[in-house]
Amino acid sequence: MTQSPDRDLMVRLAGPRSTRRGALMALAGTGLGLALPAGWRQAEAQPAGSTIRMTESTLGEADPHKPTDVPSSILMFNLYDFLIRPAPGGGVSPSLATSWEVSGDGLTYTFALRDDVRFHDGKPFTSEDVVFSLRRMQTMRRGFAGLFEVIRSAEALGPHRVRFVLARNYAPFLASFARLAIVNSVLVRANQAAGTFGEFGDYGQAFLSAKDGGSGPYVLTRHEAQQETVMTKFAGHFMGHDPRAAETVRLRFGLQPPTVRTMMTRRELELTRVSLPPEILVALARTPGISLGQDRAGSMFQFKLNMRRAPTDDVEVRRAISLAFDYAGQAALLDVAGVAAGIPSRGPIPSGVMGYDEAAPTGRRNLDAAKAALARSKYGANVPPLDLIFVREFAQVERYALLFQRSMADIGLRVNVLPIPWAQYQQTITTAESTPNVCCIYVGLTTPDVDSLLWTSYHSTSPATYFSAQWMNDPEVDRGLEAGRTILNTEQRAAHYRALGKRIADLVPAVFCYDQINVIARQNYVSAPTLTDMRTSVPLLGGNYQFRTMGVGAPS
Amino acid sequence: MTASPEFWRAMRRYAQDPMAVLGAAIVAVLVLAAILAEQVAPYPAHAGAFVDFVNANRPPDATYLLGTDGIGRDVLSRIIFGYRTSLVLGLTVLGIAVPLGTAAGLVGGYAGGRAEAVVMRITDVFLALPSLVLAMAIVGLFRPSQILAMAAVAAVWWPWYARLVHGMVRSIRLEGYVVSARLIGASPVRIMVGEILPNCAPTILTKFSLDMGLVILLGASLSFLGLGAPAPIPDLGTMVADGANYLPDQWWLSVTAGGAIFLAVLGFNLVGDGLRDVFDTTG
Repeated sequence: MTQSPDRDLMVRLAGPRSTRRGALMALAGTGLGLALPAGWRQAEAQPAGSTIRMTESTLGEADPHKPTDVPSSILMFNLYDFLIRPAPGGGVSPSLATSWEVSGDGLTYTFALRDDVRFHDGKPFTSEDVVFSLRRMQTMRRGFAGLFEVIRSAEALGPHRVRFVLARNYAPFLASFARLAIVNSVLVRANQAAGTFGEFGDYGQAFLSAKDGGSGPYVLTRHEAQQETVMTKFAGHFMGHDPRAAETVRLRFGLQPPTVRTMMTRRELELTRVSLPPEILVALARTPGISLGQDRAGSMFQFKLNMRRAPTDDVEVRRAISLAFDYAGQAALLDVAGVAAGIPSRGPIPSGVMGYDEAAPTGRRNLDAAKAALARSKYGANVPPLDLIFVREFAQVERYALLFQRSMADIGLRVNVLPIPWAQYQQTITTAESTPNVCCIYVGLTTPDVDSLLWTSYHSTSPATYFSAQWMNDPEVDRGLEAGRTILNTEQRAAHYRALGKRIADLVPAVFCYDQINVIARQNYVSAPTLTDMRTSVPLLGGNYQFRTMGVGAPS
Repeated sequence: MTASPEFWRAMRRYAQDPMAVLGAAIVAVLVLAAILAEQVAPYPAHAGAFVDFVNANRPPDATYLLGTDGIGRDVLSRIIFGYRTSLVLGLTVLGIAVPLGTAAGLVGGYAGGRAEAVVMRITDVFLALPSLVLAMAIVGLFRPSQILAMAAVAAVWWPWYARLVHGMVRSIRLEGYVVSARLIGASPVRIMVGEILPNCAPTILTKFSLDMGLVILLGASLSFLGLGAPAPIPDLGTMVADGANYLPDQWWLSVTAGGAIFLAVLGFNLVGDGLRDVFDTTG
């Protein structure tokens, strides 16, 4: 295909005709041969030993104080430990911390720590590591460091006691610890390079990006872009492993869906994580020895509407869009071989999360109401075309984008659909001016607390991320979000978020399509409770990929 | 060219070559289908904003002769409209590249000296750039659009014409009739357009028809890489790329779209081939 026209011409002018035609025919034959299916070959049983090989989109960031995405979060959850772990169903449970006390005013938290934990290099875990990890997070200000701004002081009261004093009441405080990985302070200090953090040099960033300094259930043994990440079991982990837990976990990057399908069929992969097109999942579900599972990560699929760009700056236009979207049309997409890939959303809070309103209606199409809303808008009949972007890497999102385009045509709105790569997507949404009218995206909880999704999405001061592409600036919502952080009573807080969710929905910052359930495929000889049993699912970015709880049997 | 007896003799020779006639028939059918797409396609609406997830991924049957894609659109209809996209791309690109390249080659070859050096060195610079990479860079800098894709392909295509014509002009310009024209005081433009160009025309025409296939192929490569026409405009390269994700189960998506590209390229190549034979013998 890249052959130069000139050389081609010379061949044509010089070469015997029959040869060239023969070559053309041969080429056609080869093309058809290639099109015929590697996957149709007989499945070869390959002993997996005690290994889990999983597809991953890209190399994760191994430094546990930087992650904002799923690949990095998965590394963090497996290489490191936390004072408190996110628990199934959305709560928190003790981990490195065995218990904690909260002062009457809700500002002082004292944690009792385990005394039997060792890091991968054998160093015992102490409260110094906790204080160091917190300072590192607060100083570097990367990833979700904003969660810890509220901590005024952290103090080691003894080798296994630590006290935090907060600047103000902060209800999501305990949940935030799901994002504070505890690093080995001695190892990191011994490996710090020159940098901008004074006596801490680079705070060990170069070191932790390539090696691990944790105590988690797995040890990082290989971490190479373009190739793979390899983790091996840490036998000394204080929580123990599933009796059949994999000795080795290999994460493979950048595999195309057809390759994943073929490799799964040949048993060269145990587990998929990256979303696969429904066609591939259906084919895998039909393959003997492979089952589908559900990753319920507390995420949602939305068409975010830029509230500061014409014409979506007018709430009536946004309302019209929300009323015109063909919610019923997505139903066929949400059923993958009998497995649900999502459930219709009821507003801005995903199901199973505090503040979710079971009584709120799901989206419903009403073209007359949509046209009426459009007529009420300041643009009237002359609504300029909308620009819509989606992440090209998420192939199946195009279907929703086209459904959106089709739906809007029914009320006379033109939509330019533009697929762009993830890197460019993140660039595009850095300012309100450069953000298109409509951004298709999955967003989800980053800590077990509802605040982690709503604040990053809707507070006017939250930094520009793919969460905040609607550029909301509403004083009432801001006040509601701020108040939500100070209510300590759980029931009151849930009621508060239900009301806040309604207020947000009234402003129509997005078309709330569905609460996502990422359908994954696994070999039947792999047990992955968090992906097959809803009761053990951890609704959190990357929370369901804890290899400690997975088992590998002999392939049947 | 005028319809001289020579021309009709050439056409008769062309008609005696069965492969060339086959090529002409393929091209004629494709061009007609593209022009009359709205009338010919079974589901013209499927070329636009259309979704029908209930009928997605249906294998070829009596209702949908070439099956449907993941969005429930009729593949045959989209291929017919895809031909329109491809042919418009081919004609536009060559419509820019051929006159531009021919003019550059004529001037360079006839003027000689410094003008020749400048024109031909610029041509060489463009020839040194890998066509697909340059086109990708141009398209990648901006929003993917058909106009840009055409501009990008045209930018890498004209130098081949410049060099081809330049070579021919160099050999023709000292022919007796050219020298005579100059001696009787004909202007350079008149000599180039009136005397030299007609003698280059058969070769340009041959290359033109061969290139139609290649331009369609390069356009398909660009859209295969995600730099083609924006959704939902049907584009054969994009259809192959999308369908490749669902091999082997939804084989009809990429196999039919790939076959459609193959057919178009084959048709134009056979025509070009036939023309070359005709002109080689008569010339």
